[in-house]
Amino acid sequence: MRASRTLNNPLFFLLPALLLIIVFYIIPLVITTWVSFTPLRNWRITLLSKYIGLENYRDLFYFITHDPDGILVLKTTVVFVVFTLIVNVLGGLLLAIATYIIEEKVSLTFRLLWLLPRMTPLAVFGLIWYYFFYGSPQGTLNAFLLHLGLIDKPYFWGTDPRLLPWSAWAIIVFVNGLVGVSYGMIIFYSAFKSIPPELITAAKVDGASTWQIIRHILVPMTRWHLVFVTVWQLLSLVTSYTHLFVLVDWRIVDKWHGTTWALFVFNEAFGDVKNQGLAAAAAVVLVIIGVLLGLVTLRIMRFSQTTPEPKGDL
Amino acid sequence: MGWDLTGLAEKVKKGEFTWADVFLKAKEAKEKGCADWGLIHRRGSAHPDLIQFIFAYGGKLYDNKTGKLVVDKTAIYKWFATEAAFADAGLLPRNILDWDWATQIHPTIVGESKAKGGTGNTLFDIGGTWYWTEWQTKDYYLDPHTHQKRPLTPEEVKEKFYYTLFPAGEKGDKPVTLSQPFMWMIAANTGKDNPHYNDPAYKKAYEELAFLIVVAASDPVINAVHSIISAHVPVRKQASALLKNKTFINNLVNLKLPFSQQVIDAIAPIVKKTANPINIEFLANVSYMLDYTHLAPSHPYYNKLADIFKDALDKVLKGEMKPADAVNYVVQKVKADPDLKDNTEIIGEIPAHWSLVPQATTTTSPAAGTQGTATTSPAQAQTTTGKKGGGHTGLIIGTIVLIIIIIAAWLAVRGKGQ
Repeated sequence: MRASRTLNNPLFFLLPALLLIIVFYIIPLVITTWVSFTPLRNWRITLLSKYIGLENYRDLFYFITHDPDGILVLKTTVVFVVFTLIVNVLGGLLLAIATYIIEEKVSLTFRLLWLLPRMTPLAVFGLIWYYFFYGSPQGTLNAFLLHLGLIDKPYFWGTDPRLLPWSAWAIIVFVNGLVGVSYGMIIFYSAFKSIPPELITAAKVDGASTWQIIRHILVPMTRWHLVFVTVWQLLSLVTSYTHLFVLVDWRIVDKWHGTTWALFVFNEAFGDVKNQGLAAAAAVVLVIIGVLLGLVTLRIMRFSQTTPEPKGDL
Repeated sequence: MGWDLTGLAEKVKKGEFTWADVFLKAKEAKEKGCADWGLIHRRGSAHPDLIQFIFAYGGKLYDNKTGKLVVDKTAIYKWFATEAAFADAGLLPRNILDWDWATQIHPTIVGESKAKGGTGNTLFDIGGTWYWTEWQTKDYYLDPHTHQKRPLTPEEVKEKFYYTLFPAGEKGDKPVTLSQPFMWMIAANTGKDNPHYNDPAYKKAYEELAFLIVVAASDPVINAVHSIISAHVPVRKQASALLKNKTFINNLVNLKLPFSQQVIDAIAPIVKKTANPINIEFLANVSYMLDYTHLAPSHPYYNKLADIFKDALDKVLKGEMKPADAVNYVVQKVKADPDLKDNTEIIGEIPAHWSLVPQATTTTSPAAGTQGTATTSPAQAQTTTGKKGGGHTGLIIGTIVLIIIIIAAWLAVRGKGQ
């Protein structure tokens, strides 16, 4: 009797997830917010008890408005998030469609290949692109283009001022897109697989073309997945920095054309000179922007309409 | 190119051979086809090699009285303008800061010219004394006969390279070298875990022990051995004297050192590789450089400042900024940084009409436009920077407007939904 009452309590089921969220998100967020009001630097934790008000936020605003590279961090963030999101969502959708309509055996190999960038360790993946975009004639891209006669001398693709800013931005979008696109592909592919095959067969019997099947069946029936992948990827990209860190640190791309807000936070907190107070202020701003962006996207894409109330009694 | 180097080190020492002369010689070497590049230097950072330009142009990086870092606009401008002159004349690779140590920088310094099928070569290089043994232990040299990479022999290094102090910026300035400060730190509560720590006699014993450890670690023999096996200039004068002492050298070669057997076994292979008469002679010959050394500032924010120098220099070399704009970029970044703004003094002015070699601006036709950078007046530079500031305000307002539009759209959608 007692056990069944416990099982009827929704909190019982929510508890594991709630605990994870509280321990790994809410508590760090509270600590980060507190750190943003302290002069913490170089991990001198004694400074945690010193309250300095909004000084870090003022310094952050001053950095954006007065540092010649401050505004570039914002621009790079916007370009990186928008374009990589397009690649990840639309690219993922296209790959899922491609893998869905081709023969299963080929499709499996194809999906596995696209998962390779995600499975490759960051350092190895970074090294591949280091040599690919490297500025000497031995750099893969340079060697290829020189061989074809399309260029007459090698280029430092991500740092040459004649090619900036778009060359650096293209590289960060490309490298991150290559990793991120497989996520959408897997979600969309499994969503397509969950569509009752009779619908596709019926459409085919009625003479629908592949394009019509995609447009009128596959995409409309996976709207929830589309919203989910978009929001998930958007929030991931806003806070993503690991691949960017490697690209910037190894000088594959120009430092400030490859530094997004998230990487700025990381560098401030863990770089040469560690200013965790300022980094925490920037992180809090990032969280606020992330939450707002998430809410706006869910609204615009009408997420609530894609998740109707469950039927029947609970 | 038939350049007799006799007495060059002495000329550099006296400040008679300056960076303008380096430029002219580099240009001559390139024009005569003797070298692929005029100058090669480190990658990725302005510290420590390149900040020597600041000292060579009579500038400073640290104010001993206030304990603050210094941005010396005059010296920094001359540094940037000097490197710009080299890059504009095609003597220094524009992307040198992106070059790779093992596959580009060292092979170009030690290599044969590209015309001879080598990895490229240069007339001048800014580098550390440790390169001397590094080139003997790593495969940087592409042998034109075997087409295989290999280390140079001590004889080849001696034959190929001449070494001097970092030349003075201009006549009247002094040549320099740079050392990185090191210090011994002993915790005030050393020995606190000893149960008898509160006994004054124990405390004193710990203090004396700590002092003795520092004395032992600064021992001239240890310093001299480290100096030989790593090709670093000895920091102690007694160590420098040991390099000229035949008995000491013989003892080192035969591993008769006052160290424990464990230490002797550990250093034996590298002693065998590096302790030879040519290397020891080299170290003895460069020991005088200690008298010209400057120390990089031992300041917690120095790295941050050096990083800004690197970013600015990169923009100058790549032609993205003129030297004067780059100096203003440095100043702007220092002022915008919460740590640096209160810990840095900005001194000096950008010289109005300065160029490394006045003739260079008219004789190097392909780069004449960019070389004019050296004569850019501070007023012009200010205007450019001012424009950038205006652009920032516009973008920030634009971003705020965009956020407002997004929120308004959200509210509208929300209203419609309800």
